[in-house]
Amino acid sequence: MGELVSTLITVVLVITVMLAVFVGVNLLVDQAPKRFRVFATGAGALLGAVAGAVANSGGWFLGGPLWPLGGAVVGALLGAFVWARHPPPPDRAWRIPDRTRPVIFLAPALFFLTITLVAPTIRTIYLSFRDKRSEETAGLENYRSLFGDRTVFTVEGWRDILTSRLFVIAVGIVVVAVVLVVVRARLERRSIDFTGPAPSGSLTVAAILAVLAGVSALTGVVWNNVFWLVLVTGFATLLGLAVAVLADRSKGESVAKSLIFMPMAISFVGASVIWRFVFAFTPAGKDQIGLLNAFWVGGGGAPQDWIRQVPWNNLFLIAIMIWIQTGFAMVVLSAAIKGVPSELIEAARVDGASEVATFWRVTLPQIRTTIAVVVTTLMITVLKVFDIVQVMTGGNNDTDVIANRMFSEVFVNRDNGRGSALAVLLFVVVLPLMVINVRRLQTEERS
Amino acid sequence: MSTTVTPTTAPLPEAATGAAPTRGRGVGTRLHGLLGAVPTGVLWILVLLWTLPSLGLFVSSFRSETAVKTTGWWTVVTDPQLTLESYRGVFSSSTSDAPDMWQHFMNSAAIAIPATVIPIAIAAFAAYAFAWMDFPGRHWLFVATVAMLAVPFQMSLIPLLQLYVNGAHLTVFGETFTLLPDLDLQGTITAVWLTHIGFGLPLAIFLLHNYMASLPRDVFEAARIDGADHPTIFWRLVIPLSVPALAAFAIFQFLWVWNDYLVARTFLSIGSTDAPMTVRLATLSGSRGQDWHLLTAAAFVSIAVPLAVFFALQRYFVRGLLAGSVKG
Amino acid sequence: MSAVTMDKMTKVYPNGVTAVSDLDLDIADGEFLVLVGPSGCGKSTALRMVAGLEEITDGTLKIGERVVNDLPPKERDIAMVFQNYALYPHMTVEQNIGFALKLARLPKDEITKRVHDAAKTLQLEDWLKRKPAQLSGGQRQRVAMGRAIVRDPSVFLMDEPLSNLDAKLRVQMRAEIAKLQRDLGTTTVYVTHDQVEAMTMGDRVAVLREGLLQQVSEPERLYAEPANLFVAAFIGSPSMNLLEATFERANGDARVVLSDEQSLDVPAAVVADNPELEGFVDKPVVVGIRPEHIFDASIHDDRVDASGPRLQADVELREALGSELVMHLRTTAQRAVTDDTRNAADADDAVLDELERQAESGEALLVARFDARSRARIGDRVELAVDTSQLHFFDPETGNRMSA
Repeated sequence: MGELVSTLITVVLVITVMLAVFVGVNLLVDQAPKRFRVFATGAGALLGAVAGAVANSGGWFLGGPLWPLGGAVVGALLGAFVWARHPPPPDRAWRIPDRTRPVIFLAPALFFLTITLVAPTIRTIYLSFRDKRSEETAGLENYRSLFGDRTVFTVEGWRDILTSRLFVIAVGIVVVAVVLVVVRARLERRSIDFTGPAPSGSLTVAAILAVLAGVSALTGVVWNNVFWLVLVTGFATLLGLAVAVLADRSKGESVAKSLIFMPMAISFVGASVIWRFVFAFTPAGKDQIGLLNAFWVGGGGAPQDWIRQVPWNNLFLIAIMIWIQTGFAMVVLSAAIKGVPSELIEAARVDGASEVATFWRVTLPQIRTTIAVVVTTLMITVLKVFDIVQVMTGGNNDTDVIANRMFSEVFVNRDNGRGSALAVLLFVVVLPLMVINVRRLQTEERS
Repeated sequence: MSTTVTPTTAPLPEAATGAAPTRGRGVGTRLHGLLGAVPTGVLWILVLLWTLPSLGLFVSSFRSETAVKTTGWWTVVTDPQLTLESYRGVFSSSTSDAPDMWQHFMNSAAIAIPATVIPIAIAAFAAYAFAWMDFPGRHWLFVATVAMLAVPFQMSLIPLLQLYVNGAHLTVFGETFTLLPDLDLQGTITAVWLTHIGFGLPLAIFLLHNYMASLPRDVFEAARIDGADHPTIFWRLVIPLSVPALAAFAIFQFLWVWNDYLVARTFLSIGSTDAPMTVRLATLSGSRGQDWHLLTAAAFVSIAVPLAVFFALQRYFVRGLLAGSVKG
Repeated sequence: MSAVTMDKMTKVYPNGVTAVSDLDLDIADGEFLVLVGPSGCGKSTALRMVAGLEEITDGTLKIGERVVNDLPPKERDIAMVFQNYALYPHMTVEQNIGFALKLARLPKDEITKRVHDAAKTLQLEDWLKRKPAQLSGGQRQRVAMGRAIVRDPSVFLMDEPLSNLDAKLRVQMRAEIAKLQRDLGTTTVYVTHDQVEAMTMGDRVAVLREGLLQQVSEPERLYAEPANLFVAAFIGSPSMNLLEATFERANGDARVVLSDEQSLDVPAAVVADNPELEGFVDKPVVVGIRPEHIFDASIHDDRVDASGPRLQADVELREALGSELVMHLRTTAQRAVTDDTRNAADADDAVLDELERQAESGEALLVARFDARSRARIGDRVELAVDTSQLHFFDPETGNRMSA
């Protein structure tokens, strides 16, 4: 309780000081056109204080805090008697408030952003080229050792994909889909078109199966992130879209949507705990306390320790994030679907299109940009996954991901070099997505 | 030439009016009704799937220790034996490794409140400057600021650790300059919320700028003619008119910080009494099953506030989400 | 109360576009001056320069005796009414009107008194506690006016304040604003694209086109003596009929030839008023005839020379307004279509194409105001009489009036 109270007091103090400084500096700048001497004195004091602090930033001289203070006094005097002697002409004077105002308004934000985001990012990149304790340079050694580490990245096992059942079935589906489409096109004298709901659907299923084949065969931190990326983004978007569409034409829409959206409100840690109980494992012979095992055993299987089963344990962790993020996709896509002008739907209806066709060929294209937004945002979120893996498995049993691995390198191995390298890797992967989002922002701003 | 319109009474064919032939009406509409119910049915199955896990936790938190460890929560239906012992245990601070959730609840609040309130003030100024002031480099600076939305915390983790421990120094030509003094913040809550302020700013600036830029320009011009300068316009016009956006961000940021694990875990040691609930919960979850009954109640306590905020203020949360769907 | 003096006021945007060019305007203290012109002519920009919302690139602006080029709006003692009213959405009517006074730190009871006085003048007393969203368009407009008058400034600036109102309300508000200005006596600069508004409200009207001042005079003079083709075509509704013709002299008489068979006599008084005509003998000129100066020859009218030449025309359209007939008449004559007339039409491409077509066909569509008793019907051929004492002449190259 004491901590909370002192924090609240700190907050009030910080805000009051900030506002006081803000109002004060604004008032000061407002004096420039009419009372230049006042402005010069105040500005002199400010600049003097900064100069004083800088002058002693090397700690060379004694009397630390006196330096900014002394600087302020000197600056004020200089301002009042030297600077004020040469006031700018009236029209220039009016410009002073206008020119300095943006700086005043932006300074706090830029200060915080530099300290917590910009400078650290640059420093991390720098650290990735230095050794464990950041004392000596290490060149590309950190990166080399990371990519040489087979727990981080390796392609061995790719051959197993080709022979896995899932992959064979996937290929089979693709072949059947292609044949059907081509045959149909020939018979009905239409162009070869893979964009219809059926071909797209079956190709998607095939793709999912192929990815699952990959899950079973490929190991390593990097591949795990890839699987997370593809499966969470794909399923969350698809399910979100499905729920958005279903809810749109059902009773109790808002209740249903609230319930599906709810997991977004709780922490990843809380969600992990919830699913811990779902995946709980008790050895055979005793009652199952986990929901999944209860169904599994009830269906005649032997109880499984789901989150330790290599390689499918990844899927169960991935399921947790799908559970959480579907609500996000649903909310955004639902808004987009409702934003499609009803005249378009009605026109399609009048033109004779079925429900499915209307959705596929009218609604979906209209919400394409929104889907892109959802997908990129999900991808950025998924790439950073840490909490779930950390809490459920700690990264063991081949469930490790980049963010988690970075954490271990820094806090367990105490290796700043490799840790920074992993952070940079994560950043580099997220960067293109960031660029896409920013580009979209720019086009939005223009329109 | 004049035209007169005479009402026609020609009968229209049945099909055109859409009236179904009377004979097939019963089966047709019933089938249609059934088919119409399929989406609703599928939807509610999905909803059930979605709520089962949370429901399980909720029910489990009211069961006794032995019950939780030996039988599934669904047996509650046939054999309810509800108790509050888990909740009592979770709030106890009797031993040094007792959950002591109340303390951690306070910690979560002590982190989330500053991390929500302070960025609003800072970002409001910046967003206004980007929206309504003209200065060179405005566009690119804004783009850069918003682009920082996607920078993962991992990129700042190590340097911030070092900063809070040592302060920031620059060594040039053998001379060391102190850019920021060592305030010895490592291991404190202050380090956590200071960091959250920084990371919350890009989203805040983006959301608020979006909203502020959409305010009508001539209202500001009228204010200028009435004698208002930028600060006055900011206080008396922009802030009152931006309340919806401020609220949306506040809720979003509050939930984000309350639910955060990584940042807190980075700056606070694992057994720390200053840890927020997420960290405590994670530690509790790592135990090999001895305290699982406590885990249920602890989890529920930690998600209670976000759930309450969510259900009460869902509208604002959704609005923030829709507007800020750039955030990762 | 102050005069407003613009001396070669110019606005050039950073991308090189010149919005206002060398504007010279002396607005007297208490005068109601209207700035009018087609869209894009620079009138709003000029107004905003006076307000201080746009920077003045070149030239001087004085309010009263002070040069105000570099002063921000609040130092210029002006008030402005915006096209979209720009009311503060979260404040009540009372707070909206009193906002400027509050910023000026006037004592509270003074503010209340002045706000209530303004509200009374504008009949807003019952609405003081409401918010703008609860008011109708006309009421919002009055709140915007209230905000301006409560400050008792030296100059009122109004940027198309009536263009968002429906027609009937506009007519009513026109009168109210004019009366208000007369009562208060404040110098007013009023911008509109509607020339009817300009003519009915202004003490003087300044016509702008593409950043350049065409003419500034009292409305009557603007109407009777337009300085160039643009003003002639822009002012007056329906607009002046402008035809290409040849000026001829024969035996001391002057006439203007519209086509092979049609011509009009030019009275000596008119030639005297347009001395430059002498330099255009046997050369093409542009002659302008206002619709109300074209008559149905079959109905006697004292303004027409009974023995003068008649024009033959076919009736294309007949608009019966009750008080008069607006006739569209096709006759053999060459319509004058130049940049000036196109710009003055301030219309979309379809209308402009129609004008081109007319010009090419050698037949012009005249618009005339007939006496309501005329029996002319669509398809009839009528004889037209013209009050030639009211002919206008313009130089086809420069577009200027051929007067001294």
